[in-house]
Amino acid sequence: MRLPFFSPYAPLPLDGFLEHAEKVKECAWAFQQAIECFFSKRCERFGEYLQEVNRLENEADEIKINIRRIISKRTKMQVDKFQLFMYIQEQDKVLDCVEHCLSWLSYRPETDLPPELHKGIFQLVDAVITPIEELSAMVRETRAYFETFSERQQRVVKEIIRNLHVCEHEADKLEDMVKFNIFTKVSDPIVILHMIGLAERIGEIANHAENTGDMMRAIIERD
Amino acid sequence: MDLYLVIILLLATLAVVDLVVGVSNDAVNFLTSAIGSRVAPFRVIMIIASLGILAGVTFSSGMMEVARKGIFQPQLFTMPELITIFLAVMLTDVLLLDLFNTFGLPTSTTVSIVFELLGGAVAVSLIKIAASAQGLDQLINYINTAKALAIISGILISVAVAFVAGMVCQFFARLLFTFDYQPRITRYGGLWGGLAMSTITYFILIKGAKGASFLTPEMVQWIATHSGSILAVSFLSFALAFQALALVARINVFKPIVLAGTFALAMAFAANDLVNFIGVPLAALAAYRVAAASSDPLHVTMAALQGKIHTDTLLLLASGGIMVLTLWTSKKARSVTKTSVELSRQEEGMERFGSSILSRAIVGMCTALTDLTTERLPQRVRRVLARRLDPERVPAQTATAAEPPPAFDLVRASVNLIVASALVAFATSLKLPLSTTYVTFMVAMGTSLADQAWGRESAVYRVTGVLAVIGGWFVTAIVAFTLGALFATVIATFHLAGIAGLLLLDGFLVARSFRYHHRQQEESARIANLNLKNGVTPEQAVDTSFAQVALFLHEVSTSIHASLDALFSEDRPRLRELRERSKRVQQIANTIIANIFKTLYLLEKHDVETTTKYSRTIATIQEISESHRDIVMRAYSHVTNFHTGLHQDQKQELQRVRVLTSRLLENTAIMLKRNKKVDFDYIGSQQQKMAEFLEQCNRNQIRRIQGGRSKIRLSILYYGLLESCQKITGHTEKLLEIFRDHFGAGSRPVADHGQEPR
Repeated sequence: MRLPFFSPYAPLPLDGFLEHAEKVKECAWAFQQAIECFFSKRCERFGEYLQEVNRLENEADEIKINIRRIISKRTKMQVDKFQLFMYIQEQDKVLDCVEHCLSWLSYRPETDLPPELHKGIFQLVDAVITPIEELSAMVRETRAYFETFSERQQRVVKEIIRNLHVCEHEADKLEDMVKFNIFTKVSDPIVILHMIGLAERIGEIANHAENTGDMMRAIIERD
Repeated sequence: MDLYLVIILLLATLAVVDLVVGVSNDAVNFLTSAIGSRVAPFRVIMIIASLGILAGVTFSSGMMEVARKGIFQPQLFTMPELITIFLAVMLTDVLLLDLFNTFGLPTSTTVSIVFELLGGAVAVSLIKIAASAQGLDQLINYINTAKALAIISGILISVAVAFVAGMVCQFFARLLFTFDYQPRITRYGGLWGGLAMSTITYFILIKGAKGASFLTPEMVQWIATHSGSILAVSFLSFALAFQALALVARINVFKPIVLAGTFALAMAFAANDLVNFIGVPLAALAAYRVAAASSDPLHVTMAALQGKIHTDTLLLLASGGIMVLTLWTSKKARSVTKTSVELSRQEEGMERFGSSILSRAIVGMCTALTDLTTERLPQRVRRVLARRLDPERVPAQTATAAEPPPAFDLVRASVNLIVASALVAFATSLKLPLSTTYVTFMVAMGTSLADQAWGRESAVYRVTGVLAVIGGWFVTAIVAFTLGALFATVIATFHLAGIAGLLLLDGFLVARSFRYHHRQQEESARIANLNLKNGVTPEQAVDTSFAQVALFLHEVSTSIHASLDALFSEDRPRLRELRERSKRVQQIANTIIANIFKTLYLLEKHDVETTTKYSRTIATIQEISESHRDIVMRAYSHVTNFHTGLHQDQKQELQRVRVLTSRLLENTAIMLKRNKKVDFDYIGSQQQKMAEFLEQCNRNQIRRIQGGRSKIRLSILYYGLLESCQKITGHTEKLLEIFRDHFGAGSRPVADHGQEPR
C-alpha cells in the first residue's frame, strides 16, 4: 500500500491504452462478423467489414502515435517507459494480425470449404476474440490499480492475465483441431493451404493477446 | 516556548484551511435564495455576497470571545492545556467540515466549533482531574455547561420554528401574490418591499451593531431601545420608495429585495461565523502572549483571557479576503448550495435522495392530515385557495428557452430571506443562540412545502433529503464532541508524536475526500451532460437518445463484467463498490428515459406509428436496467451473506454467458452510436449461440443438483444470473429492431453525443 497523493511521477497513459484496447475489441468484432459473413455465402458485406477493420486499424494507429508522443515527453513515470512502449506495440500487433487474417481471406474469395468445417473456424474465432475482449477490462482494472495501489486490485488484474493464458490455451487446442479436420476432410491442396494459413493466423491473434497480458504483468509487477 | 510558537503558526495555517472549508459549507446560507431564483447573473450574485462578507468581517471583532471563554473557564487552565484543546479543535473542525462539504450537506459551523471546544475541554479537564486525584464532580467547574445546553436547545427550537414560520409566511405570501405574481407587483409591491427591506435593515443593525468596532456602546444601546421606531420608519420609507419604483419605473421589486437579503445574510455570516474559523487560533495567540509575559509561562493560569481582547482589523480583512476567494473558487461550496436548491426545487425531476421508511411514514401522515383538513374547510374557502395557490397558473416556459426555469420564483426567494433574517434578528435580540445554517435551511424547506414543491412525485425523496441534512446536524454535534475529546487526549498523551500523527491523518483524509469529491463531480457532470438540451429538433432528439442508449449499454456491459468477476473471486469490497456504481447506471437509464419523454413531446406532430415504435425503447431500457441491477444485487447479497462460492465449472459457464452478453451489448452499442447498419445475421448467430449455451448450462446445473453438488442458494443464484443475462440479450435485440424500424437500418450519420465512459 502506497500513498498516492504525494507521487512525483506523471500519470501513466492508461486512458490511451484503454482507448486503444477498445478499438482492438471493436476490430475483433468486425473481424468475427467478417468471418461469419465470408463463410455464409449469401453475405455480400465482406468488403465492408474489411474496410471497417482497416479504418479501425488506422484510428488505433493514431491513438498509438499519440500515446508514444506522451510517453516520449521528458517526464518521470513510475513504470519503465520501455515497458509501456512494448505494451502498446504488442496490443497493436493484435490488430495487425486481425487485418492480416482478413487480407489473407480476401486473396481467395471463392474458397470452397465443406460446411461441417465452418463451425470449427467460427469456434476458433470465438476463442481468440474472448481474450481480446478481456484486454480492455485488464487496462480498466490496471487504471484502477494505479489509482489505489491496493494489492486487491493488483490481484484482479493478475486474474485477468491468468484468464488470457487460459483463453490462449483453448484457442491453441481449437486451432489444432481445425487444422486436423482440414487435412482429413479437404482434398483440394489450395483450399488446404488457404485454410491452414487462416487457422494459423487466427491462432496468432490469441498469442499476441496473451503476450499483451504478460506485458501488463511486467508493468504492474515492476511498480 | 519556541515549540508553542511553532504550534501557534500551525494553528494559523489550520485557520486558513478552516476558513476555506467553513465558507464552502456556510455559503449555502446566503446563496440558496439568489441562485435558486436566478435573481441576477451568477457573477452579480457572487459580487453582492462578496461585498456582504467584506462588510461583515469588520463587524466581527466582538465575537471572538466565544472561543476564549464561552465554553470553558480559562482561569482553570494553563497555556499548554489550552493549546492542546485549541489544536484538537482545529484539527477536528477541518476534518468534520470537509466531510460535510464532500457530501454536499449543509451543517452549522457554530455547532461544530462549540462541540469541539466542549469535547476538547472535557478531555483535558478529565486528564487534569485524574492527575490531581479530584472527584469527577469537579468537571462541572471547568465547563460552561449552560452555554452547551443553550446551543442544543437552540438547535431543536430553531429547526421547528424556522420550518413552521417559513411554511406559514410562504402560504400567505403566495395567497397574496399567487404563482403568477408579475401583475400583482404594482398592487402589493410597495407593501412587500417595505416589509422586506425594513426586516432586512433591522437584521443588519441588530446583527451588525453588536460587534461593530466603529459603533459606541451608547449607539448600540440606542438601536436596541429604538427598535420599534427604526422598524416603523424604515417600513414607511421603503414602502413608499418601492411602490413608486413599481408604478413608475415598472421595476420588479423582488429583485432588489432578494439581492439586499443576500447581502445582509452574507454580512451576518461573516460577522458571526468568522469566529468559528479564526477565533480559536486567535485565542491560542492570546494565551501564548499572556504566558510569554509571565515569569512561569508553562504554569500560569489563563485568567487574563476573561478580559476583552481587541482583534486587528487588518487580520479580519485578510480573513474576509480568503472567504471571498473561497466563495468564488470552491467547488464544494457549489455542491452544498446545490443540495439546498435541489431540495426546494419547484419542478419535478431527478431526485438526489432515495426513499426511506421514515420519509414514507411522514409523507403518509402528512397526506392524510392534509386530506382531513381540506375536507373540513368550507367549499368557498377551498375554491379560493385552489384558485390562488394553483402552481399551474404560472406562465408556461417555452421549450426553446436557452436555460431551464429557475428552481423557484422570486416570491419564494424573498420570503426565504425575510423570514430567515427576521428569525435570526429576533433570536439575537433575545440573546437566544441559534444557527444561521439551520434557520435558513429549514425556512427554505418550509417555504417549498407551502409552495407544493414537494408534490406526490417528489415528497418522499425530498423528506429523505431533509431528514439526512437534519440527521447530519446531530451527527455534527456528536462527532465534533467525540473527535475533539479524542484528539485532545491523543495530543495530551503523545505530545509531538500525537500532533504529527493527527496532522498526517487530517492531510490524508482531506486529500482523500478531495479526490472523492472530484470523482463525484465528474460523474454528476457526465450524467448532467446526458440531459437533452432545449431547442433540439425531433430528429436530433431521436439521434441523441440512440447515441445515449449506446453509452448506457456500454455501462451495463462493463458493470456486469466487473460484478461477475467480483462474484467469482468473492470480492466483497468490490461488490459493494459495484452496487454503488449500479446506481449510476440506473441514473443514466432514468435520464435517457426522461429524454425519451421529452422527445415524445417533440414528436407529437409526427405520425403515431413512428412515435409508438420509438416509445418502446423506454420499456426495453427499463428491463435492461432492472436485469443489470438484479445481477449486481444477487452477486452482492450472495457474497456479503457468506454463502458458498460458485463451483469452478459454474464459474466457467457464467464466464461464457458473460462474454456472449457483453459481446451483444457492446456490438449493439457500436451500431447505435455509429448509426451502423445492423448485421442481423451476426446478431442472430450470437443469440443462437447464447440460447444453445444457456440450454447446455441448464442441463449441467440439473446434473449438479441431482448429484448434490449445488446447494439451494447457489442454484438460485446461478439460475437468477442466467435469467437476467438472457433478459438483457433479448431486450438488446429488441432495441436493435426498434433502431432498424426507426432509421430503416440506419442512414443518417450520428454525432457522438455520449461521452466515452471511463
